[in-house]
Amino acid sequence: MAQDEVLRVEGVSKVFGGLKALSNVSMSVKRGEVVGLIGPNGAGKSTLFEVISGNMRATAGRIVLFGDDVSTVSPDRRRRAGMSRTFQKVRLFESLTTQENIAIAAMQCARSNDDWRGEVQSVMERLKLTRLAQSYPAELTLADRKKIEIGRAIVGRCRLLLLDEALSGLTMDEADELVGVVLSLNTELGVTIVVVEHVLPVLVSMAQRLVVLNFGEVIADGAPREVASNEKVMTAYLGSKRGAFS
Amino acid sequence: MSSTVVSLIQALASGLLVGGVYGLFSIGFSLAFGVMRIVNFAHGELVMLGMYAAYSVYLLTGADPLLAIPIVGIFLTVVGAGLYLVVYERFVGKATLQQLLVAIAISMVIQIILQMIYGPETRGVQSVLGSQYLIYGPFFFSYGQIAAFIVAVICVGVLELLLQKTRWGKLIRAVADDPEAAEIVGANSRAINTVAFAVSCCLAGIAGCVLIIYYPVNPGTGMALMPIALIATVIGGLGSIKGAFLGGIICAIVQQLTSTFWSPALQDVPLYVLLLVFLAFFPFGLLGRKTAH
Repeated sequence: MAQDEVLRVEGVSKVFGGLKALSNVSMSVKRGEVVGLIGPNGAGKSTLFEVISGNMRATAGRIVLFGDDVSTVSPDRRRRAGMSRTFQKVRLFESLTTQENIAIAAMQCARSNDDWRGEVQSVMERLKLTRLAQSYPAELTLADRKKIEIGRAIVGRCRLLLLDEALSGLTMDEADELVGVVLSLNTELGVTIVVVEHVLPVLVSMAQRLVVLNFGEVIADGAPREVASNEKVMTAYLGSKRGAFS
Repeated sequence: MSSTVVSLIQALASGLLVGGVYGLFSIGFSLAFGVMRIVNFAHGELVMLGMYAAYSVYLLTGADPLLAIPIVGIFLTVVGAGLYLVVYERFVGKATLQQLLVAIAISMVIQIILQMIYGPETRGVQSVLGSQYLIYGPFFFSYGQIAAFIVAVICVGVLELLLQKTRWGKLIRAVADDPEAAEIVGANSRAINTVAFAVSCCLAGIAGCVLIIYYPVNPGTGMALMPIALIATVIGGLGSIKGAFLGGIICAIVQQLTSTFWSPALQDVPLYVLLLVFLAFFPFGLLGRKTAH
């Protein structure tokens, strides 16, 4: 594994009964990158996230995280190793307040000398959640719920963040704000990010590299412009050879 | 004061005292359901196991059941952790028919084992508290029931404090809300579930210790207690600890009022009516959350 590689997916397949959701998928992510994972509905993006995060076990292949094979390692240990994620549909702890939702992750991942309370505070400030510290998720807007989920994901030494459709359901202004937050995590905190997103123009502006899945297979991997003009990608998205993201 | 008013106040106060203990064993049942979605139909038998354990300590040492609480609590905690890891773990999150059948099978195994050891006879202890009464005007209360109520309130208070204020409690609540998301924030769901189930059984053990002060035990006792835990949990709200305690008190008060003003033989009838009414019209109970599964 290259020294600056934080994630390597090696020949991963996932079969559900007779359905092959992922077929021999391989990709790697380098430290500090923002990588977009795209593909039509049912392409296998969320399944790949499930396998990388450990919520699902791959039928075949390996997941190498920060140099260690974590294919059989539980999700909580992967989290403590520095990999975190959000869900396509926001999944907060409804019986905990905003602050508790974030603090619980910080506590679980903190080492003995870590100032996790200070970290929770600073993450809430970064995400403009301080005024909502004592609110429960059910009282909040979708945008705030998404921010809490991101806050919960980045505390506790998060080095690799998987974002699953973080912008879906948001207004343009809310989406712009969240994109700014996500990019600042990358540029200011050095968090490596893999994003699944359907708002392609936004993704193209965020990501340095795009990986395209279709029917569970990687059909393209490269710079956004390169991928946008890829014949297979255009066919997968539009069934024709027009520019895929135009 | 008319005799009807005296009877009413006596029934309400006795119901409150007995209800504390009902609440105590109902919160154990509710905890297992709230965190793991396990409907532990063996919970009544675990309370009964606690009663027999306290009885055994009494036989061996002559110690009052209240003094046996630490040892019986630890014993039931170990039994609970073992039961969870060996049997219930595979059913977490799935209140399936298989899970219900397994729980019923466990309850029968416990019954049979206890019957083999202690025989079918009803057994009780000579507790100092159980045989003395606090008399206040026309009212009288068993010291045993008062002590049991105090223990129950302390246990519920401590549990509520643990759940609301400690890291462990927050983890349990997080796992109860969403076990998969809890793992994603670094929580070890398996360990948390094991602890939660063990605590649920520990509470059953403590309830057994206080119950045997004034309620003799036989191998059928668990079966008689189980419906109360179930009804109290439904009334209070599935998965709500405070709700289960409140439900236990309501169950006992309804029993006492029925027994006083109608017939002791029919004291459980209104409970089943309440169960049906809540399931049909208020499925989230008094304090349950609508997000409860």
